[in-house]
Amino acid sequence: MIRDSILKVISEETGGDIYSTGRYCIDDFSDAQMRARNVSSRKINFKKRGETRNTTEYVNLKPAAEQLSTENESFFSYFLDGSRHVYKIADVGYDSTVYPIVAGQIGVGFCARENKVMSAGKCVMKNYIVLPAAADKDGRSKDPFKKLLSRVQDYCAKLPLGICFDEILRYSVGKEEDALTKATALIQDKMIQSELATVKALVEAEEPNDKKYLIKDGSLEYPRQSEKNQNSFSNILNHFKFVVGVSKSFNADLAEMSDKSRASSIIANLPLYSRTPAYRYAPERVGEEFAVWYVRIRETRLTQSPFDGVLKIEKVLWNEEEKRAGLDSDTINTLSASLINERNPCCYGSDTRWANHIYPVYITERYIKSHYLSPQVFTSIF
Amino acid sequence: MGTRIGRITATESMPSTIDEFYFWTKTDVLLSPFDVVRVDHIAGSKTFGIVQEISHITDAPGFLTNYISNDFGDCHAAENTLRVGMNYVKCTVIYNDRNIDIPVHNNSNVELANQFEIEDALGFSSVKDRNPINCGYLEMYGGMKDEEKIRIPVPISRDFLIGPEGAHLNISGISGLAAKTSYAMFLLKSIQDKLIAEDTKDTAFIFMNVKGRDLLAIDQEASDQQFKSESDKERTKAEYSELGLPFTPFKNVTYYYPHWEDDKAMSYITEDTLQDQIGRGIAKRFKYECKYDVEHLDLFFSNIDDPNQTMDAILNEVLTSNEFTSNTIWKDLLIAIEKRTRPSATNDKTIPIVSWRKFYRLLKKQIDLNGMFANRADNKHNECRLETEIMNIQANDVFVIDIAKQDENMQSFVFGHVMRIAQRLRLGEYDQILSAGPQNIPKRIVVFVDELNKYASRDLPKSAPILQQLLDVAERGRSLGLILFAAEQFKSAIHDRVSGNCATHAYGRTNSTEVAKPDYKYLPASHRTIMTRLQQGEYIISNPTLRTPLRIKFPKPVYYQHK
Repeated sequence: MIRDSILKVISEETGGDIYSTGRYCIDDFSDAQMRARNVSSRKINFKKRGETRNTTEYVNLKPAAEQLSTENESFFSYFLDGSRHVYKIADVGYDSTVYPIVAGQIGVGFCARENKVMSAGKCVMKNYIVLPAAADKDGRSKDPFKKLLSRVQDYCAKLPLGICFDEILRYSVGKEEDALTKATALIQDKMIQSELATVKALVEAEEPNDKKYLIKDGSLEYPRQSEKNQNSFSNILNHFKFVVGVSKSFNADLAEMSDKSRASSIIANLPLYSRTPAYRYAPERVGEEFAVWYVRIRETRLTQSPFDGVLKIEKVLWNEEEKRAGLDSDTINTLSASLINERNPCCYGSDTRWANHIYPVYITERYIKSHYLSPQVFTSIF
Repeated sequence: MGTRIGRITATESMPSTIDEFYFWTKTDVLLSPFDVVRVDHIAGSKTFGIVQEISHITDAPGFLTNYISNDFGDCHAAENTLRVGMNYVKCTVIYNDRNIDIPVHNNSNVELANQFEIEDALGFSSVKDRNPINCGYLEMYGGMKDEEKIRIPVPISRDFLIGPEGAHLNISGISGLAAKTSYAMFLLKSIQDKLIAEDTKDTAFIFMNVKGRDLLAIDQEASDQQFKSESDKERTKAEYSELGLPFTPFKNVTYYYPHWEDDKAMSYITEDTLQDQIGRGIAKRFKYECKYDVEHLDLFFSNIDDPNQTMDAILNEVLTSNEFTSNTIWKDLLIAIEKRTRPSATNDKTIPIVSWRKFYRLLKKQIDLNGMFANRADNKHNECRLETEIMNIQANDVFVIDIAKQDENMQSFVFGHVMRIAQRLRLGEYDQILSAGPQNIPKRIVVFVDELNKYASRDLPKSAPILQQLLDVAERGRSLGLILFAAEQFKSAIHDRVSGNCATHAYGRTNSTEVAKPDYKYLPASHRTIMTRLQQGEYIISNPTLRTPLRIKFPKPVYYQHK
């Protein structure tokens, strides 16, 4: 007999048989995570130059970085990050087929920095339950889990945790597809939407400018969405005028130059406090063009791999002029020099990715993570 | 509602308890140890805590993180972001306004308290009905905005300072920086002022002057040179006014100097000043007469190790045998004793001759060297016997007895003698011979002595008469009405039974070797550290009426100080 719980409510509302299984965090399964993210595993083709000058060699930015440091100037004032925690909660059986029930929390937030002091911006936390499509008995309603969600919310309201589920999502899987990956991808999409909405709100409220850029942790390659979606990447492209995506982890082997040579050796040999030329990159699934370049902020001899200490920078080419001529090389130099100066302080000892992490982003990550319910608490409410 | 400065943080490793709690604050909140904070607690109550320790932490898990964060050890490396850090503050719980003892809860608001709350929390309100005396003032929130700074007089109950509830004060601190004598004088003057203002006639004072001319002009107003400037003087005046004390020196003061020869005194006082004081009728030279004072000879031998009690046996014989008691002048007594140093003097072999010789040598040396051992005290020439003077002491009188120029043995002798007479007076041994009758004997006699370590040291022989005298006073003085205000450099050097019986302790600036000793273990580590940094005029004071030791300040002396 199932005690009074969210699973019992799901069972009653969807007519499924609940099978208790071990509850665990899917994030721990990096393979599933990488596939779900579906971003960093794609091959990158650098077609042509992505900046106004015909830069072919590494650009030494040490003097520029030192100059900025002397002037106590940084071009980054806002830092945004999004993350998710996804859990396998139980299995549910419909018509002798057993599907996983997945739940997750997403957190998207930003922090601001003024006079070198970090301050909390805003953090949006949302919780989702993901059920198989078979849980929708009729398959006709646009919102088949409305009543179920209402009952789940009523149940949660009685808990002293202040938790509330925002939506119940549904996944459908083909024979070859992995249900957990599919469910995780749905929560990932929600996180992406939340990130875009947060960028939009932040830009409209805080008005970043050419002296106060926003760093978004990770890639800016937001998948193409319906044009009806007001907050789709393409529809709010002008909000990304002063936003750069800074990735601490990337697969250099996937980056390919226009002559089919691998970019990995270019990145591996990147000297300290230098940048690569900016390349133009137009992923099909995004539908926008980016200028992409790499900056080394830490010495190779002090890190474990030649790619440690290298940041991948993305900036969307947001207007016709940039799309035509590429991103202004001086802007790239200034942003890169400013990023080099972000190397101190670092999060050595707290995060294994310290060599590629920049501290304000690390703090933003911590800020968002501090809002999560612990895995034990989150999984126990079911 | 006060200024909110943080919230309680209770963790697995550092929980809130009924004794203490922790709260976090921003790094720019300038709290100090001894500041009082208010915490919102259950049932609408407020818990008050006193700041003990303030720690600063960042998210750096180790030193290496910070080393690496400076480009692997570049002392000139810049940082674009200040590392996230905070201060966390450890507080001792001192009070809950609804007597709720359970620990404060995580995330409860922590605020600055206002003056009335601080007074309540520290127990000042409960002192108001128990003969309060301001022992100084405290300053709180010194690092905050001007409107948030608080300065409050600190009242302690006179009943716990000079009896009958508690008694004895011990002041410790290193020479000069601690200003021990100044603080003792400040407290004593506060008591005298208060008693005179209340017209309470039950307490008299005896001060032993053991250093230079420290206390030889306490009836005179402070000179302008004692203040840095006119504004310093005005500020001091304002401080006295704030503490409810008059800006006047001691009253009813009489100085007693050891007689030397003719009309001279064995003192650092100048001849002119002495004559001036004598002219004003406030100074006398004291003498010891054999026929009256021979019974106190035991005090000569305070520092002599006497494991076989031979000195004691000799003394006993000197005081009881007709051979000695028939002598009325010191010279005759010495001759009588000298006879015993001869081999054929007596058939009594119980006391070896060598012991008699030693006794004689010690006694002769002191009597020969000190002019105060005389045949007669001539009252017409401002000479006196201390016993006569002390047994006639009146309420609110201040006797200053100068022993500064005497050697340690004689200082012990005079001090021990004074304590003995005062004790006898309070025990009623003079009731029958007092011309004014016993009704005029003050109910309390407060004796102040500096350098207590000379008289109540742990290193003194257990049988030392002066130590026995002081132990007796420390243990029974409260009920007897004989109160000891004592000061010394190192409290750890004082006999446990003397320091342990003091109800009030004042700790001035001391050194780290001293605070590492067991005598200070009961104080929090932060208090001990602060003791090594106290400024001149600052004390940590502990008294039964205060809920916690407090860091206080006191104003500059208002009496004349010889330089």
